[in-house]
Amino acid sequence: MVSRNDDGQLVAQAQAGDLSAFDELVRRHHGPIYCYLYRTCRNGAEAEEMTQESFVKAWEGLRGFRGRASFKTWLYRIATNLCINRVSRRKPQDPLSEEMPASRRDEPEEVLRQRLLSERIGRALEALPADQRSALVLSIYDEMSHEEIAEAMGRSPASVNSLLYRARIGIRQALEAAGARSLMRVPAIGNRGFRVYTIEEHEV
Amino acid sequence: MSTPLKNMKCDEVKLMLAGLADGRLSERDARAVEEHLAGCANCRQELESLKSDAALLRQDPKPEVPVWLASRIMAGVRERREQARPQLASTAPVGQYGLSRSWARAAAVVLAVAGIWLGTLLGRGIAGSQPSLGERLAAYGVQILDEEGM
Repeated sequence: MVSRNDDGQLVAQAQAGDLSAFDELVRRHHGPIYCYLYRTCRNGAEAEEMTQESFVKAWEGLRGFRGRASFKTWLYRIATNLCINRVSRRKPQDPLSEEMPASRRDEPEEVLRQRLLSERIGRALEALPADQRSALVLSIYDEMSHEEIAEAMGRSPASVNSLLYRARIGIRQALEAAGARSLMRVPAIGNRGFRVYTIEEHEV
Repeated sequence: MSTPLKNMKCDEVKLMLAGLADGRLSERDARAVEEHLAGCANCRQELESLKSDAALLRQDPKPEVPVWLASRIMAGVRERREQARPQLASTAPVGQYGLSRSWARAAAVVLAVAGIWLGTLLGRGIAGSQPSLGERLAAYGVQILDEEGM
């Protein structure tokens, strides 16, 4: 039975052919990798498939992993390569994200706002080139440092600064175009938590 | 950052503003950028916009991870491991002489060329009045195989 705390020990055991050690690595990292891929491709089935493929590739390439980067950033690098290749192979006419279910009349306002906001953020992210989108998702949602992003994307830290800057400019324009900002929760004046936003004015 | 940090220009600062907005700059870089911000209203405004964009993006809820995903991944890994086994066997020695497949192929090519060369010599022998090479070798009990016989 395996009882380990750090990835390094698990990786060493998995490199020696211990499948249960690799299973533990999968359990630790599959969630963040899935969320990263989902956010970059906005499609659950594709994200699931690419997450599986990332780990299968990791298993196959494990003997070549020397530990210069962390196992986590190495996994992200595999996932990033898969994702960028897949996104750049898409034809312009292909629908990018899965369609959101139609809204229901009885849907609570907060649920509706959240759903619309998510859809519009997704549309804004899709407007970015694949490498900018990956860098932005790693920075905002995975909270990686620029050095970690550089490792995960196989780039220099300086080029990541520039890539992220372009991504931030691009996402601002895309968020405006998608109408996401009007659905943002903003702090209320005083101590009442958040100001109530109105959804009636937005098309559903 | 390798550039001198004092007296940074707006273009250089802008590349680092996202890092500052997300709290990911080193102490030294953050201090240099803040020095610039103290005297530059444009960059201060840009920093506020970056913070606002990040706050909006972070309101996107975390995707729900399918509960079966870890099992699906491991099923894929096991399947690939099984597929890899026969491939490993295919690189094992072939036949009683322990030749690998690639060496066996190379040997077959060499023998084929030798066969063609001998065939040509035999043809010349038949055409002339002297006994052919085949006949001479046969006298010593040596039989020459053609390509098909290899």
